[in-house]
Amino acid sequence: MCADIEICNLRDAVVRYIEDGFGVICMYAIEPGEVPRSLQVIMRKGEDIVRLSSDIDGRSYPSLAISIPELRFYEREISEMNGITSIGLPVFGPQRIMWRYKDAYPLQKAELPRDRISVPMLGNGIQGEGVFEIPVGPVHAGVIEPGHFRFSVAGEPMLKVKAHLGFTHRGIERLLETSADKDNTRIIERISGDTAVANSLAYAHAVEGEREVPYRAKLMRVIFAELERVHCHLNDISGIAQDTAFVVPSALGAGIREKVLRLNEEIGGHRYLMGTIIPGGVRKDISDDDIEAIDKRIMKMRFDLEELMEMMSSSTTFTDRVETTGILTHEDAMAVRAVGPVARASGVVSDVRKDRPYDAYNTLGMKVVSSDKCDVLSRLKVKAGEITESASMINQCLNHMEDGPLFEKVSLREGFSFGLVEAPRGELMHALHVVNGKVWRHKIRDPSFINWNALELALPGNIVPDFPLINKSFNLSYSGNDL
Amino acid sequence: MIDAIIEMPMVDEKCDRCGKCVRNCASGALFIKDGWSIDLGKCILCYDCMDSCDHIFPVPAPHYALNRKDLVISSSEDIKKCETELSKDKTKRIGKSVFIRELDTGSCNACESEINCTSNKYYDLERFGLRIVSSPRHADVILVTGPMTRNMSAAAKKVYDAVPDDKLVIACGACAISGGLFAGGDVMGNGIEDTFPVDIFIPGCPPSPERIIVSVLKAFGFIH
Repeated sequence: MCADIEICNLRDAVVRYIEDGFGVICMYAIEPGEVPRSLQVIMRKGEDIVRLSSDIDGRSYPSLAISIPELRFYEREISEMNGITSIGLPVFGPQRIMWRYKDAYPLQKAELPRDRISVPMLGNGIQGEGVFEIPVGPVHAGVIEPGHFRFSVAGEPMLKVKAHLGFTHRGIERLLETSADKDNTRIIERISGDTAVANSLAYAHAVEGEREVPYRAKLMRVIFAELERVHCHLNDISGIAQDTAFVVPSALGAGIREKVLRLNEEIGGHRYLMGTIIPGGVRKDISDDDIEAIDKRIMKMRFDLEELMEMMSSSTTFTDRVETTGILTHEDAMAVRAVGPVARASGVVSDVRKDRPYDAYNTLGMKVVSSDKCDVLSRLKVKAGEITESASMINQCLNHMEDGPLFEKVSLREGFSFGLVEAPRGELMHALHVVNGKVWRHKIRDPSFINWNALELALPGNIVPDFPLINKSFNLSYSGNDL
Repeated sequence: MIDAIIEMPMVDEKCDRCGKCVRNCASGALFIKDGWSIDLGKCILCYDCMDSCDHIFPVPAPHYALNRKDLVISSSEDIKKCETELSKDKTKRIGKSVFIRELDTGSCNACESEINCTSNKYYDLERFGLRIVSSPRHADVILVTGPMTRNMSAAAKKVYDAVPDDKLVIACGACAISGGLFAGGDVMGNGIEDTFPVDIFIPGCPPSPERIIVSVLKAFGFIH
């Protein structure tokens, strides 16, 4: 559903929808040119999607975040990428980019100038006797993506942590503004390498709109998406064990994950399943032998995982480290509208696969795994539970598999298109505005964009050495956030 | 030891240079100039070109190259020229144990994931004398992934300076070699070579763990 609203009434309208039980998925701005400059707010309640659109005159609008605090990140993003400021919102440091243009901004339709001014990085602003600020990054000790963190500490516990991201900002949203008949799947798969399937699936849904894809393709998409969830979550389980220096389960977890990656390569041709999903269906077919192989190896994976979880939960030194560590309270999770396994481990039972089923999910039986303990252990258990659910869904798909075509040709239509899927990290949205055969705006809302803010709320009170552990239990993508 | 063959597209003699594959290529790796050529440094190995043409068939691809221009391949003969050993002056100081520092300059995290996989029990790179270290100051080799984003360039230069001299740089993946699909984005030039000199190029998107290990071992002359 779409509603055009005067900009001065937008805040009240959003507040009304939120009181009705809607949650904001994304807010973004559209550049002027062939369409007027406008602000878009997309909200969801269960299956219903509402899009509020307001035209803006000039370069400012009354802040919505004054009444709806979870929107402040979007307002910062809009002011940085589109050069439109919100009136009433205090200005914070950069959201993604560490420089700005003079009289220009990154998403403008005109050519970008060469001169840039760097934006200074702000400190945490906490001062006092015995309070220190520890800067960490962007290059970390492990093999992970770049990000800069500032810990304010008094003794061992952290008082405040601020994540300064944007080091992997590649300007993807601008790169995606191409002609509408160009297939951008290849670049979209590489937004965040370990969520290649989820990203290409969201894009495919946006391109397809209401059009149905063949039944075989629907089942195969579920298989690929769930295999991706399995390897992504196994990485976290192995990583959490690694960060508590519990090396045997860590090595076992990495071994199980490697087996899943090799299975991916055999059936999809790529270890991270890039190139398997295209708008209109799937590109790779699986044979009867593959079906048998998947069935057997997923079953084996389940037993291996059970053994691994048993080993971890029976170690008191391990459980002592992860219990009551990194608590993201239910209220905090609601306040930033956290998504994915992180939110489900804090008692927010929300899953796009259940609430707004896409592809073959409405024909499959699935349970939304959740917990209300809110700590690292509960996130670990939710992820392990989701792997088991994924395995069961893959089995159901294999049993339902029937012969048929793999894809139908589709092309992007004029106007607004929208795709929403449950990525391994949570709700992932692609929204496209096509104007006169050209993609005018391609907005991507990665789950990590929200959950980074949830992480900052979960950290205070914990000791600095627990930061890697808590960070791993959230498993956030830097490249998906930075775009 | 390890079976690490990947395939790259190559044309047969019936190719009439119609240019259909060039138009279909998402990464701009294919071009026609006095004959059909592929730039393996840009290729993301998606095989879209093979779907569009019957005259393109897969051939085993080289694991690595020491020069950027060796990755531009026009015939099967060119593939053989790629995998050469580093000169002795470059490897003399490093000896037989290679300490590697990974540096992400804006990759999509698939390369990181593969580099992490090199330490799992299936590959276990430490048995070959290779080791991934935590600090640039402990390293002999910088393994760079990503297209060198503008935001990361200052930090990347600091890492390069922090590694002791006689260092080697490995560009891992299509992004690091040529900018890949992000060459037109918010990045510094085409690939990391515009920021600092590169000694080994490992093409792929992402290169698999076994190929990363085999490339390093072969380039240092530990295996032949």
